[in-house]
This record gives sequence, C-alpha cells and structure tokens, in this order.
Amino acid sequence: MSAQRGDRIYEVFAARSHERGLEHVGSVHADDVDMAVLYGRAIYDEENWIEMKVVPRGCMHDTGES
Amino acid sequence: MSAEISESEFKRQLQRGRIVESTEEMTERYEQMLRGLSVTVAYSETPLNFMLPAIQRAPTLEDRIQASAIFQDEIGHGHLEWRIAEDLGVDRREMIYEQPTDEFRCRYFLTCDVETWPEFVALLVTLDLGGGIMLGRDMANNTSYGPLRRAMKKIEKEERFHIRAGEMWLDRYAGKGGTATEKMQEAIDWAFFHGMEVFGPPDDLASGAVELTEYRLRGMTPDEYRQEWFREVIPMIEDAGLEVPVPYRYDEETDEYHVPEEYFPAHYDEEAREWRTGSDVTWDDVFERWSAADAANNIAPLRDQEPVVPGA
Repeated sequence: MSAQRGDRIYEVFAARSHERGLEHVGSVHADDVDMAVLYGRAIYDEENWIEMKVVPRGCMHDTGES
Repeated sequence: MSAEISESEFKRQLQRGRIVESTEEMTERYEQMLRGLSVTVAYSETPLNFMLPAIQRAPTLEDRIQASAIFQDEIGHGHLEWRIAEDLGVDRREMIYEQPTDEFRCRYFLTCDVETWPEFVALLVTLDLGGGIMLGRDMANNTSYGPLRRAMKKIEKEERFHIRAGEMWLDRYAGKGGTATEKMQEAIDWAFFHGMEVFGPPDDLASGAVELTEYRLRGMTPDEYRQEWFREVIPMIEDAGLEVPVPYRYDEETDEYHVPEEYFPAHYDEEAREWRTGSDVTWDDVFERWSAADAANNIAPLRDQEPVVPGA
C-alpha cells in the first residue's frame, strides 16, 4: 500500500437498521485497516449499530454532481 | 482553497441552513474560526487527569466503574474532535505532546484538580451540563460544519448519561444528611462558579463567540448558554434540597436569571481552592487568571496522593 498520508484516514459508516441503511458517522486515523476497524468500533459505540464499515478516504470519489 | 463568495452572502446562506462539508466550500475567515473552535473543544477533552483523584476516591466499586466509563467517554470525545481538527490542518501529536501545557487552549476548570467524590458529582451536574448544552443541545443541532455536527450527536447522547448519573448521585448525597449533605453542598458551591464562567464572558466582551454564531458554527451566544444552564441547574440543585451559592433573581416574563455583579465574575484562589466574590473583581482579572492557567497544574495532586481503599 502506498504511504500517502491521506490513506491513513478512514471514513466510518454505520447503520441503525436495514431500513435506514448506512450513514456517515465520522472518521478515524489509523495505520492499517485492522486498526481502523478497531478504532471505528471503539470510538463510535454510541448506538447498537447493526453494521459498520470503514473506507480509506482515498477510495472515495466525488462524481461531481451536487 | 477558499470559496469565492462574499462574506456577507456566505453568512446569509449559513443562517438559512447551508451545511458545509469541506474546506473548499469555506471562506478563509470561516475556516480560521472553525479551526479555533475545534482546537478549543478538543483541548477541553484532553488534560482529563484533573478528575482522576476524585474517581480514585469513588465510594463503591460500582461507582468507580461508572465514573471510569464516563472518563472513557470523554477520551472518545477528544478523539472525534482532534480528528476534525486534523482535517483542518492541525497536527494532533504536536498539539498534545509538543505544545507547552500552559498553552493548551482548554477551559479553565480543566486546569483545577477535582479532589473529592462529591466534587466529581458536582462537576457532572454543572460542567457536563454546560458541555451538554454547548456541544449537544446547540452544536449537534445547529452547527453549519457537517462533520462537527455529526460528531456532536454522539457527544450529546453520552453527556446526557453523565448528567443523569450526576443527578442520581447528587440526590443520593444531598438527601443523606449530616456530613454527606454538607460535603455535597460545598462541592456545589465550588463547581457552580466554574459553571457560570465556562461559557465565557458576557456577550459584549465576547466578540469572537458572537462571530461564531454569525457563521452558525454555534447557534447560541455565551449569555444564551448561561441562561439555558441557569434554567436547568438551579432547579436541579434546589430540588435536591441544596442551596444555590449565589443570590439570583428570576424574571418570569423573560424566563431569565440575573446574578448580581459582585458574584459574577468571581476570583478563584487556586491554592485554597476557593472562590472569592466582591464587586472589585473584573473580567480583566478573570482573563489574566485564564491565560496564566497551566493544564499541568492538575497533575500535582496525583504525585503526592495517598493510596485510597474504595469504600473506606
């Protein structure tokens, strides 16, 4: 993996229920995916999420639409 | 890069509910104010050692576990807030580990140690309530910066738990009678003054805080926060059977509380850990005390603390 600084920021998405789907809840700063998963779970523990995902910020692409 | 839009038009859009998600959408001044705000809130969850002496004196193991969970929540809040500051170009490591502790831009009460268990309880019902009003009730619902608003949702929820735990303990000790009630009253007397000043000076001396509301980074001014706080904390203290340490006047028509000038602002004697009131205390004295404060002050009591046996 490249060592770009931006790669160490992971966006965190979580879902309260299947109906509501994933929503953006925040981000974590981690050295690798395993740590990002751990931080995501530990820091965003305010709800009993049914699903949580972390995505490297560099993998998110704007489609240009607003 | 900053947005190409006039400052006044940008402010108008923000007042109408525009949400900003990235630095590309901000004017330079907005970004500067947002960075300052996020660093201040992040620092105010950082030198948390100030409450350790009190947590170590928790009366039961159960209380100690609950207090430790509250402490852990606060560390989590710090993580969220530093994360937001990092996205605005702030170096978290440098701010925490390289910055001298007397330059930490945290709220003043964090530089004062919380020594006894009743003081910890008083802290929850006054300062956590204050934090809950600023970060939760206001910013979680009003701030125009999307990432900050979402972070504050979590903080709002957890601060509500802290305040509820505080209220439970407050009622327990206040209603016990004898020394327990006395100690609880003393702790409230101490924390109440910290609570009154935590929102900042009156609006006419707080141009920066007022500017934050123009950008809707915050939805309320220091005086509005303080009124919201009085409306909750005063009935809470009185319902517990304790006394509010200032002679206030309540105006039913405006639903506002008024505290005489000789009680606000007040002078804090850090050695004696006591507040001194009087009409000679000015806001300049308070600003001087705030800027001289050192976040490492509160480490001292940890060094020479006697071991404490829970329940003893």
